[in-house]
Amino acid sequence: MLQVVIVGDHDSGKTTFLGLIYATLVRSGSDKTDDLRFHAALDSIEEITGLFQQLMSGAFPDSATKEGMHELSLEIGFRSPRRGAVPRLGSRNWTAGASMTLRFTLPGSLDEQIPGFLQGSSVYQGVWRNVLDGDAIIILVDSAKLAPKAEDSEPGSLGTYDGRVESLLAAIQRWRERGGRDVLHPIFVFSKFDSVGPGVLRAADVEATPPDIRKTGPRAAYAKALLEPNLPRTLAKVLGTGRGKLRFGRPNYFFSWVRTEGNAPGPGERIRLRRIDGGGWEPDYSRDEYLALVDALGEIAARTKE
Amino acid sequence: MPCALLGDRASGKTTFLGLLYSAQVKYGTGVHDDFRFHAPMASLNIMSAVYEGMKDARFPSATLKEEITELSFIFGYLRKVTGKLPYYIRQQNWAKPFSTLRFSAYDVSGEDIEEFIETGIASRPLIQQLLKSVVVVVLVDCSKMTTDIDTPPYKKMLRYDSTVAKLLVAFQTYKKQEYDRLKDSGVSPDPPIIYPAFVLSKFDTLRDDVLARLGLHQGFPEDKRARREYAEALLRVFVPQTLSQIRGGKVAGVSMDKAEYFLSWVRTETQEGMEPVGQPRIVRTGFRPEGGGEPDFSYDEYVHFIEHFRHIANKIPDEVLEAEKFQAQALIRPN
Repeated sequence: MLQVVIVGDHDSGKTTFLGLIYATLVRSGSDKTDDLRFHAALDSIEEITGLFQQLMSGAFPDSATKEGMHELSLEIGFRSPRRGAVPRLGSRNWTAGASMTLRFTLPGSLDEQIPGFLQGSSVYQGVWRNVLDGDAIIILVDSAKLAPKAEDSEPGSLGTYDGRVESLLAAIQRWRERGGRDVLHPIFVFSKFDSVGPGVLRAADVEATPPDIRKTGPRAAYAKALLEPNLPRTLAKVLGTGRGKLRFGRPNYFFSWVRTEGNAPGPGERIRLRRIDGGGWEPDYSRDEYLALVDALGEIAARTKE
Repeated sequence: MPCALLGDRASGKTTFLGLLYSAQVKYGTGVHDDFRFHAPMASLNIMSAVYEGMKDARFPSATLKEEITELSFIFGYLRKVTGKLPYYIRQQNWAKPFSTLRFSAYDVSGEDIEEFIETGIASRPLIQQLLKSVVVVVLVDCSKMTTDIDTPPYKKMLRYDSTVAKLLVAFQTYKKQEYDRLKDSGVSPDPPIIYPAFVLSKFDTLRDDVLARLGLHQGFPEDKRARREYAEALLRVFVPQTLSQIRGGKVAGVSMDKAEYFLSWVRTETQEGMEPVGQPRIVRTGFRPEGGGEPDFSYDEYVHFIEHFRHIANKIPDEVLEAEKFQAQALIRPN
């Protein structure tokens, strides 16, 4: 089982992000091409179907949904082989043993529910406990809060968040000294990427749209140009050569956006739904990025199995 | 063989059962004589009341609908080999001319198995029985299929999709747990399998603009593959979670790949240029040598549905057949 931890600030789009992963899987899992299949675990189905209903009605998750959404367990199988070593399931046959189990943990907002172990406690409990044993960590970066590089080299409005993520990563490093997996795969997801300020892009000297998903090098450079002024400590941590037992895998970068109806951002903001091939609708979002993310998780799962 | 019948409120569950009964009556009294059925008294009472009402051009009443929680029929299919024997031999009991199948349909709503979804434990016997279903019949109400996303029918369909997806995950989970339990206790059970059957109910109410938007022609195709593609094109749009969980059964270790698709419609009286007032009335067929005065409905589709169970009957896992035999013996045994 691949344990994936999602961390983010308050209102950074964590629940929407999880809902869009599910929406991506629902569409691919019911697609005519039949290349992907997934099964949602019984203990997750109630919450995730409720969340899906909200997104498909054009609404962002309400506070009750956000409150109740802490985990999502899925069994995923691919028909075509992943680039890594995910077992090929055969052109016709799908077998239970050859799929991967993904468990997403959504412990809460890093700015609201600071786990005890970040405040010096040695007691590790609750949903935050799962964070310490994660195989991959998805670090959500709220693009609306990205700031251009400051003259005085002080981090922008994401400065506090940067410090907390760095501390969290350090806590995981300390925890893993005692045992457990020796690799943690960091994944940066720029949420609300459609709301990144033009000044930020200009200052980072990057285009408005990120390079193609297949161009991993330019994408990494693009993401780093935005992360360096905003999450310098976190970036340094995952790219650095730590001395401990835990090492960080090569980071992946994804860009998430979901289009909204014309009205101004706020509580009444509605998701725009778009038509898809063969009829039907889905939220107007960066589906290709989500597909690539699922793909990347598949590769990580395969490497973790080895 | 337990068979779960899933359907939204007013999706036509009782009408479906009434028409199935109607089809059984007609098919079971046909000249060919290769299908027979028997209904236990409780089921017969309800179904004959529904049937009578339909022959009187009425849809089932709300009171009747409430009475239905479980309905069973025993289907008897003439064995191929015995079908070729002379008539007087076929009539002998020792020849066992019919292979039988107990069809028990449970009317299920999301709340019924909420306990299992929330706790993972099925304590009520009815729910245990239900979760053992080998066949899951999902009714999809075509009158709620709309391409207008800001309407109540669209939202109802979204909710229904979530409910059915939840129920399917519950069925899959239960089946897998039972399989693992049997395996752990040294038994070699057959791999878990569920046969899903989708019934597109009220198909005659499916609007042309919806079909046009989805690039589908009017009328359901005859060819098996084309039927599947046509039905899946509708399901992909209106119940995508359900379809994805049907397909995902295999990765969860429960095969649900053998889905079949059926249509259901019953013609109602309409007056040119006028909106129907009150409860619609069923159109009845005229009298012909093969029968008459019956509801005008998609009879061939229902026969197709009955025949579908002939194929499933041969594939029922041994442990299910054993359990049924045990249950039947327990009922016969005097107290």
